[in-house]
Amino acid sequence: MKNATKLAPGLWRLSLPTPEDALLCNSYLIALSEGYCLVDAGPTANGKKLIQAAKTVTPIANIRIIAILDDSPFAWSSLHLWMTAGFHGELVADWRVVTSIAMGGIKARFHDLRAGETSLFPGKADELVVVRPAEAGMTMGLYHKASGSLFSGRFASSIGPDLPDYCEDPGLRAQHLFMESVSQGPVLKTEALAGDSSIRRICPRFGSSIPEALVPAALGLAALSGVCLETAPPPALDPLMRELDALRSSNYVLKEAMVGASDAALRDPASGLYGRSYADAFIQALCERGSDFSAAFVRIDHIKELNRSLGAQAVDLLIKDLADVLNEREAEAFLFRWTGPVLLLIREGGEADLFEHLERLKRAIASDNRFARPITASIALVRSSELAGANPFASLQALARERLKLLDRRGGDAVLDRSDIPIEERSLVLALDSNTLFLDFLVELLEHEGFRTQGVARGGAALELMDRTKPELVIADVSLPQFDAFQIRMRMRASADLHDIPFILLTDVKSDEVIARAHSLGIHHIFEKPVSMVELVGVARSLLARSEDGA
Amino acid sequence: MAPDYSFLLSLAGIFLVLDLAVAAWVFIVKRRARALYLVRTSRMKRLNRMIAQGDEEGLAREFAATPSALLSHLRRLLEDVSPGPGPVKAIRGFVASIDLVGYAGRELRSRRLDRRIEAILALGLSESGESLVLLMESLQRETSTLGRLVALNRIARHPLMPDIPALIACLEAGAARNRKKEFQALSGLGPRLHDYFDQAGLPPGDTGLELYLLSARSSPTEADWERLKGLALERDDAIGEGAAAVLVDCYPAARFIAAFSGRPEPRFRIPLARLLGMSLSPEELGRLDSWFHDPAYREHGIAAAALVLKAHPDAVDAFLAHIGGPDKARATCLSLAIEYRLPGLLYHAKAPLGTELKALVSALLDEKRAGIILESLSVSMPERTRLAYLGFLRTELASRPEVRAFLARHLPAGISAELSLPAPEAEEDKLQIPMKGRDKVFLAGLVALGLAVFPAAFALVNWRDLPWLSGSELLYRFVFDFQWLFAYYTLAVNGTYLVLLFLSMQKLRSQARLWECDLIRIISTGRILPSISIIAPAYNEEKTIVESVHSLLSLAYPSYQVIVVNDGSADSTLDVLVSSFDLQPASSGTGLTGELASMPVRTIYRSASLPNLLVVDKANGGKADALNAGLNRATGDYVCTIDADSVLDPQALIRAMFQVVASEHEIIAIGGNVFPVNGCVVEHGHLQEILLPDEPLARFQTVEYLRSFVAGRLGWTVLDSLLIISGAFGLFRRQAVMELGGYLTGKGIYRHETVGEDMEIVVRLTRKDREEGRGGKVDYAYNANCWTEVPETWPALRRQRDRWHRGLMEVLCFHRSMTFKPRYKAAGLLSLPYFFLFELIGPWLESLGYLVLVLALVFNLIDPMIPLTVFAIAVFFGILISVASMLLAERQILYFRTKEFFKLLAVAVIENFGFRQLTSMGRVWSNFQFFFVSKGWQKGSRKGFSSKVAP
Repeated sequence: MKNATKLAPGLWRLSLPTPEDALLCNSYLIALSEGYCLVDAGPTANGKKLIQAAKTVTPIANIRIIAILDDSPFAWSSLHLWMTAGFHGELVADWRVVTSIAMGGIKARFHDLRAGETSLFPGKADELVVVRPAEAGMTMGLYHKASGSLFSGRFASSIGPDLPDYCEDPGLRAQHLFMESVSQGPVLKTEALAGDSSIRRICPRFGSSIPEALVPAALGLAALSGVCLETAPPPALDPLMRELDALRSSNYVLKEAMVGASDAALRDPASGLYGRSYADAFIQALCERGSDFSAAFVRIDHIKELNRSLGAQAVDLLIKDLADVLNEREAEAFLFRWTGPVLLLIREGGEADLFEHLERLKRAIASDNRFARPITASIALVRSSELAGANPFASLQALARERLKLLDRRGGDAVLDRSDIPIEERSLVLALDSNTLFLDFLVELLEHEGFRTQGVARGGAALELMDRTKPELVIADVSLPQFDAFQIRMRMRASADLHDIPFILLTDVKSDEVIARAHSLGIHHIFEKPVSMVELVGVARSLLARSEDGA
Repeated sequence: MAPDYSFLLSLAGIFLVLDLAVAAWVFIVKRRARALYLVRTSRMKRLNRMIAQGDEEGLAREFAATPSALLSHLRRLLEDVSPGPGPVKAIRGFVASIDLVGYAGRELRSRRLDRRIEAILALGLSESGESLVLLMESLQRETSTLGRLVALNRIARHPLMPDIPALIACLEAGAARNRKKEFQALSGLGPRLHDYFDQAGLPPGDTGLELYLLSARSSPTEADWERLKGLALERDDAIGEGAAAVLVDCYPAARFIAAFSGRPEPRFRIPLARLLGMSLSPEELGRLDSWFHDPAYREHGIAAAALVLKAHPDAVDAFLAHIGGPDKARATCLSLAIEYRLPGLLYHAKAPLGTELKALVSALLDEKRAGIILESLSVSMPERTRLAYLGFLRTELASRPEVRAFLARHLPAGISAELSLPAPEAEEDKLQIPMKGRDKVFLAGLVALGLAVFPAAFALVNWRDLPWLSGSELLYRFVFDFQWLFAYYTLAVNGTYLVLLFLSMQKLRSQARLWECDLIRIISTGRILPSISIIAPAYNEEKTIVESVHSLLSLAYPSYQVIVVNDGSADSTLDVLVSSFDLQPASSGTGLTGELASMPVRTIYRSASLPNLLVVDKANGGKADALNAGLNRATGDYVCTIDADSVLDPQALIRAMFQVVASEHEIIAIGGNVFPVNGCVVEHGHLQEILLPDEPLARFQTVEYLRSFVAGRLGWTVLDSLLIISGAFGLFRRQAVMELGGYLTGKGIYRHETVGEDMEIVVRLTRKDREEGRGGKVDYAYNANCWTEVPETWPALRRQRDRWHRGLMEVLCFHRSMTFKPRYKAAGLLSLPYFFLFELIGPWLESLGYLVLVLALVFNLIDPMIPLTVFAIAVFFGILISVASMLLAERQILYFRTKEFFKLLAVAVIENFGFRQLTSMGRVWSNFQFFFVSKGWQKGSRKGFSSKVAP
């Protein structure tokens, strides 16, 4: 069986022999006047075969562009193979995909589509047209004039004109329908409206209005690429329109397809969601783009007790169930697993009644009966309008951490979108030093830097206090009366509540023995006196952040 | 009679009033201390807040109000907080904005050392050239050791480079005794000096060269190698040695060996042995021959061979091959290097013993290593091997009577018989110390003389009336006059105490002022602080030894080692130590005997994980013998002797050594406070809380210890005649003790034993020092604390006091020739007479006084008010001394909670009714027994540390 199938003049489909893979792993090769364009590079597993297939059409060096239309790694994880096989051209991709690719460790030249240009080849504007998304959350499309084909990554895989018909899924069937109509011939084209490249129209290649027979195809093209249509749809097409509406609203189904197609490495095995690193990149990209969004951090309350009474596996199931609930109720939003029991829901576009909406969501979670045991959730809401400073992503993280911690202190089961935290609710640092002058200064400075700090000069008193107040960070000098810092650390490690509190050690002489002993007790931050306060405060901050993330 | 009586009465009244006044003073001091504390704390908090917030204006206001307090605060803070961005930058800015130099210039002219030091430290805050100039000036003017050290430290830390020729001139002007310390204080300057010497070339004088060595050590370069090599080869003095030491420490060992191998000078030869030991393979042992054959360097060769074995633990066969070889000296030295492996070799040996093994055993026997032979006989080996070994030993021992006698004494009868050793001679108990007849006569005569003085004087005064006084009148007059004597005696003894108390107060204040300057960080830089070896003899301490050693290992001191000497414990003390600290037998380098004679050492253990722990296992010989065995292994500049069961304050060593560093004289011994640990909460070998003991007996001792340590000993140091440092905690210059021949034991050079070894060593140290006119001093650190268990039952207390008193008497006898000899200065003119008068004869007089008091009351001999008044004087004066001591102790020595403090105050009063009288009668009884009953000291029964948790 040939791996490169010629579909139209200048258009090949590169696919794998088995029909099962066909939907997921279609790549297309388009001949342009100068070189070739590859639509979707394909997954690593199939990369070599696809390269072989492409070579039957043209040497790899002739490929000038690889366009990645799908944001799942299935569409791009073989990029490095293409590059070693001789690809030196540019990548065209959506910003989301660019992030993913960069995270995949691939360094390539990107064709920047944000600048507003639509053509990949100046001077040959209509040969291969980039269809820009009209709606946030959609990926871009590619329209090939010569074959009259539209490629889009909206459906978890690049879909060319030859969609197989074995698909039972209603959403895919609608797609199928649309594609069939498009593939009838090179009759439609999209055109940029003068002066505003983001607005385009779909018009017939010949003549001024779209023939009635081609309206479904035009509508489909419009629905998928978000361009405006000059002609109103005729009433005869109502069933198709309804189906397309359903298609748009059943993002859920589409997303499931996306889930299935994605690389397991980026997903959290327990919940099936994209994990923290993906979420980080996603948010960072959102921030960079300056788009308006809201992040809701949903956390199952009392996770430690649940872990203790149910076991980790059952808790994983709870998280999975929570992910299901959120996916069902918030189909429009993007869901990630942030850390442990925290799921992150990102919605683009600001909404006025978001807080009430999340309140309802919280109540729905509490009343949902699919969980193995009734759970409550805390939701920390951060709006993009709150983010400030040079690094909005860091401030998002800090706000989220602060609010989640506060929710934890307040006992959970609440939604919080404020940060004006009263002093008694801030993180508690315990400082231990026998030198009262330095201890007092340390406390004063840490308070000044925004930590709530308690200072203790004697080891015995410190242990008592620790049991009572459960600090989140301990800073201790090695030599203390009664118990030295090592003895205190040993006792902390023996205690169920205190063993994972981060610990900073101060010492007069940072000798090898002190370091070895500290490391054996899991202390990795050792400061030699005189201590640089800036560094100490920085390390304290990062340790507090890490302890929150680990919780 | 009436006016006399009223005089006594008014005396008693005066003392009562004084008592009340001191008690009131105690109250006021307590209250004032609290108020002062609050003021200081609030200022500290205020200043810290200003610094944290960068409030420079506020700081300027504080500087205008209390400059010294502000600068001292900043200086202390900058010891812990490094310069850099943030708040510290604000401090620098503020310091640059004020007239620091003007202020410090005024303060530097102060007569008080602590103020001058604070001014020098404040100057260190500034980074300007003016401050450096002023620092150099202060160094030129300063004569005190501590002041110079601090000035040098600040000069070294100043960002600007000082004028090196001027600095050299300043260093040369300093006392030679402090030369090393002063260079250490400058060590921070090392890397910067390097650039200077690179440009200026080698300086002319010795001081300059030493400074050059300091810089070369901090960053040795290729150019330095040649320069140092030249110095090391040319100079035959301290400079040459210093250069050689830098070459050894800072360049690769192979390079040093290649360059200097074959050089005969000790400065090359001794490190060469060590470097060779670390780098040689077992096949190349022959290269150490030149060390083995030279008696002067033999021990270094042995140490090197031991290092080879340490690096190649499996290479015993290579050693044995040499031992079986013809070269006698090499065989002997290698035998000594591997002697601790003998038990292991025997364990694996087969029936006919190999010639090498035989050669090893006979070499060890030749060297009289009886301890290791004893140890080897306790190894379990196959019966045939054992018989072969015993047979070999039998023939070998025949020609070695000394080892034979030792083994006969220590081996069980069964093995003794198998070795056909003679039955051990009926040796008297080691701990029984017979007193020489003439010593007894001397002491008894002295006491008799002391007691006869009063009747003689009585007779002399009343000789006219004697013939016609009736018996009862005579008795009346005698008793009456005796009351006077007793009153005068009481006044004298307590008056002495009072004088000492005042002297103590002076000394304490000057020590405390310096200590409160917080100079620990400064004297901890470089190697200014002398290294210390703690020697802890342990005898049957299996219950407490592990906790004690743990606590000893976690003291706050930069360089010290702990030597536990297991004095032939009958329980499992050694096993507990071996298993808890991962101990492994190790060669001590010089074999198992040392410079000082002691009972044979069986094995020396080192810990695999703790490099500063050493355990010496030896045959039982008493505390002094164990201390000598420990002294043989000690390497520190000072040795600290403690009881294995006492709890040392973690700061005790550094506090004691601070006084040593600060002293203007050579300190040969320094003591610290010892307080009862009874009742205190001890956990993990650390004192958690200071509480009063529950037992009244122990409480009385708390007051007694407080009085004698705080009030007495500090005062004696002012008079330069302190002769007692408690055996529970004392530090001695190791070199001085080694020169003396260590502690007094039957095996030592004096062939004399004593139960008062702690006092004896101080007296002997002082004696030798005065005889050689060296000007060494015995000092006392007012705040170095040690806690020890005191007896809680009367019989145990009696035994302890009996031992003390015997010890005192033995020491007095042994060193009686020092008395009233001006060459021994205050020690001979004041201290020893005091001991004779108040410690030897005094108790007799006192007891007699109480006896007469009771008799007079019972038989109504005289007006009962008179003896009662005399008694009241004694009691009120006693209370005055006790309460005043507590007043002194309030300053940084002992922290009791207010409630406990007042409880102790009550005890200090009650103690004078009964306890003091009983202890003084106890001494009389000890004296009595000493004269008429020969008795050794027995160890009091001790409990383990009570691991009580505070309620």
